[in-house]
Amino acid sequence: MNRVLIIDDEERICDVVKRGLEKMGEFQVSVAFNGKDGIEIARKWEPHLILLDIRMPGLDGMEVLKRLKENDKTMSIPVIMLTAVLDTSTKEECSKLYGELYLEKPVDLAVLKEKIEAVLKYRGKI
Amino acid sequence: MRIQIKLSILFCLCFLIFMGALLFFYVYENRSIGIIFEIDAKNTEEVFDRVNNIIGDSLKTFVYDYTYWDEMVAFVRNGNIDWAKFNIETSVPTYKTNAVWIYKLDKNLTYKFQNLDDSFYDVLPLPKIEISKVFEKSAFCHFFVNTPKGVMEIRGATIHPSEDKERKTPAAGYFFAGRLWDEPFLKNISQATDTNVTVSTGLTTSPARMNFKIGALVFYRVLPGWNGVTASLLKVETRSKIVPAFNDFSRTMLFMLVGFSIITFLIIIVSLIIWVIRPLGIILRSLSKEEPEHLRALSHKQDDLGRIARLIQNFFEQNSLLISEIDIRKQTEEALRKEKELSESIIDTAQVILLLLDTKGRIVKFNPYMEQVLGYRLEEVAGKDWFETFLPKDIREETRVVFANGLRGIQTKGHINPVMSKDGHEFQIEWYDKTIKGADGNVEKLLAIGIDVSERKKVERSMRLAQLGKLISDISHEINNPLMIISGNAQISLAPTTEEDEIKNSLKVIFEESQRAKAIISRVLKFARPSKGMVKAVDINHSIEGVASIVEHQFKLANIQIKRNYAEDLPLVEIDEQQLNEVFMNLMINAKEAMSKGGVITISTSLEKKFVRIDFKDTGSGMSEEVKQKLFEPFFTTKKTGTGLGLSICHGIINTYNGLLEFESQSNMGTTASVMLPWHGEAA
Repeated sequence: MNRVLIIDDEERICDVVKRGLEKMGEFQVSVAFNGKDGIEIARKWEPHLILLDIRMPGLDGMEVLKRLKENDKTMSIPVIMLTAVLDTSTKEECSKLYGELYLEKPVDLAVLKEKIEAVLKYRGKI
Repeated sequence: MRIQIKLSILFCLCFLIFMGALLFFYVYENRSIGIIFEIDAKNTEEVFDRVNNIIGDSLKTFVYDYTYWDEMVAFVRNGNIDWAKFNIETSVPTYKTNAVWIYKLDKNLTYKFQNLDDSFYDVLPLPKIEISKVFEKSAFCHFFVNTPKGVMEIRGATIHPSEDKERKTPAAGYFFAGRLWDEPFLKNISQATDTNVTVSTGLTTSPARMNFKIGALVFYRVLPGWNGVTASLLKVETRSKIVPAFNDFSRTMLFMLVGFSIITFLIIIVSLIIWVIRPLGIILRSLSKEEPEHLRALSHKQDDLGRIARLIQNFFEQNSLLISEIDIRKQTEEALRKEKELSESIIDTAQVILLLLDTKGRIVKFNPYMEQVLGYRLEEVAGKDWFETFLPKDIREETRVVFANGLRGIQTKGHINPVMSKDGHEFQIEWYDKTIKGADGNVEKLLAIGIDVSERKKVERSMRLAQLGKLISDISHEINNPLMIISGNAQISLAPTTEEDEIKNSLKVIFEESQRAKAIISRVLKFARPSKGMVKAVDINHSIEGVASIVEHQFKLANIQIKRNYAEDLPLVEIDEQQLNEVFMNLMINAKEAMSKGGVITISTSLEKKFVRIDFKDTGSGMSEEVKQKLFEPFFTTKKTGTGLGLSICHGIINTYNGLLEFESQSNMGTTASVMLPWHGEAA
């Protein structure tokens, strides 16, 4: 069962995505409501994929992504950036630095599940 | 010419005139003395001659009496010596005669007598041949002869009978009598005439000589010889008694006059020096050196120069005051000139518009910068209406209201309106104004200072667009989050495996999130278009109290005390009370959240000129500089559940009513939020 970590400051988003993924596929989902907790869980739990919100109080998504990519344990975990508004510069930064995927809120849960599965398949996890 | 020199010249002239008068007096006196002396001399001469004649008369009488006498005729004929001795020699002393000679007609000496003990006198000292000749013209002769013992006076007469008094009968003989003018005789004459008589050996007569000074007089009398030739001269010397006395008197008088004159002139000189020349010198020195202290000695005197000295001292004092006043005025003028130069240079070089309008809004003056920016020269538009000439039609009335407010004392600060240049360009000018009052305290002019903010406005517009982009991004974020929750919950609810309870929960979440999205949109709209709602005259104290009473219970639960400090008689403010309450509510909630451990919020109202001021002072955590800078930024929040729109909306509302919303805060020192609302009506 693939482990997916959701890091978002909106508790209800974490909740709905967690419930949706668990209903639609074989995912073990964990959530973190801020960047600091997210990094900590990622290190310990070593998820197969992380859904990361960009705009968050405290450590924002870009900073969390940077720190994940700098850590040996987490650097290979694929990250899908979730954001309500993804401006051009953020998109470019994400692509250039980490070649990660991004999805704009509101995301259809089915689409999200397909994207997660595609990434995991590409990484050989499925 | 100096007055001292003039006075000296005048004094010298007076002195010379006086000396001339004295000289004239002296000459006149001398002349008087001369005349007196001449009269005296004439009298003396007459007296002398008369006395001399009287003395000489005895000899004359002797000769006269003895020559018309019958007995004498008989004697000449008979030569009776006894008769002669008896009659003649006895008479000689009586007549003070020294010699007698009687000659017959044939010129033979019949009788002689002399008492001089000298044979020379035995005969008549006259040649015989001349004896008859001396009677050719008269029966009498009188002449003088120089003899060894001196001059002898000789008188002679022809001898006639007693009845021939007229001596018309032929002479019987010749009778001569001689008197020697010896020293005793001359002394006798001198005593008789009060003169000094001497016989001069010279024969030349000279006029009488006079010496006025000593009153000496010398005159001569000719002693004729038998032939009419001068035999000798009688020198008479005398001294006038009147003239020396008169001279003495005259000299004394002259000396007295001179002395009196000298004393008088000395007194005049000293008086002039003391009373005129010295004071004038002091006055002159004081005036020329401009040193009034020299006048101190003069000023206490009560005479005219003392008055002049006091007047001059006064003048100096006034002059000194005047000079100091002039100095002060010069300094003031210089300061004013510099101030004016500075002001003019500021006006000329200031890169802001300086515009002076009268109370009707007509252009009085503006600075070169305005000429440069707007293209009009002052001469072109002076006296014209500012609003008609420079402002676009659609904003004229609105700007006139701002202008009228400015005249009423509501100072314009930062009002921006477009201004048209001569060539049709539109400039955005930000205005600050200041009223200029006249001497009567009434507003006469309005000085408007305008800053060309056209460029700034462009930048601001760009920034606004950028901010708008950010705002849209923020709005999207805020809306998309609930949308995603709604969308996700809907999908879960639609899934066939989802149980009913979960569906219900999801639907509840969907409803709540859709309400959240609606609220966000509503607030965004308020932020974007904060329009005036139901505007009415609001009692601010009443309005605040309404809000305070709503939240007071919650505040008490949070251990927060509300203190009220409302001003009385606050004027009513034209505003939408609902919007105002929203502002008050926001500020009070912010204050409450800043005091998480409880505290005090003090609400104060006051009147500041044309504004009603409301302060919300809390004892909370305060704000950092960073937070203060972002305070009015939309969606900026320090709260977990905040939207970041509250203060932005408050700011927008207060701005709509031309008010001010300000914050005074320091970290851990509490915050004071102040709302300033303008009022134009009556007090409540």
